[in-house]
Amino acid sequence: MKVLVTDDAGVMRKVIIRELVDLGISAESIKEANDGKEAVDAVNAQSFTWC
Amino acid sequence: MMQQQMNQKNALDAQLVNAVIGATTEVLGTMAQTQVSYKSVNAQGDYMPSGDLSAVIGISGQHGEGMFALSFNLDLASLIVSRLLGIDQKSISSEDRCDGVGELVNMISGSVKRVLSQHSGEIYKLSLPTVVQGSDHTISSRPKNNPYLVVLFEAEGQTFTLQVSFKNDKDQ
Repeated sequence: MKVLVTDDAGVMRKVIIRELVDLGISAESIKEANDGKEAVDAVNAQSFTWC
Repeated sequence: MMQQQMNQKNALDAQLVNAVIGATTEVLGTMAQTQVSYKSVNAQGDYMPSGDLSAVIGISGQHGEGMFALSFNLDLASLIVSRLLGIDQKSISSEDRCDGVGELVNMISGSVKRVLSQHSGEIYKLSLPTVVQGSDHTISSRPKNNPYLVVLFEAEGQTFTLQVSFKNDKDQ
């Protein structure tokens, strides 16, 4: 399972990633994007289960 | 008519204070697992609380404007942000601490904004938060002559404050 977390606030990305890890998702399978463009680029580069 | 306007203004003030207390308690409780208790509200215009780390955010709409300023001492800010991020307090960087307090004021003011919008039927917008760091500083960024109050809270035996200044032109 691959997850893409997109938020312009780094703190919120960390909070969301912590919650995902607590739910059992491995930290290595979680990618971050700072804005919409980074998110689109990331999705074009690889597929994600959750965005 | 004037009495009706006064009643509406007092209702807004009470709603604003209740919204601030509710939002602060909920955000710190759910996001940072920190139990917060309301201590008091001070509406004296010359009272300016001090803090080591403050996050200020502006709110504006077609008929109203104001600001919120959340101020902590450094120890309490570190503790709350460490809980928000789920990391050890000693691992908190200055950048994490500033960003974390900025996000907290963003979430609290977002919740208060929804209450104000429900009350007035107007749409309000929030600015990006600005974070101020410095030992024992005060914040005085409110628009001149705007109604002003300071809500004092306690968490982990320490006091922190949320300054609120908000003026709705329709109340004039």
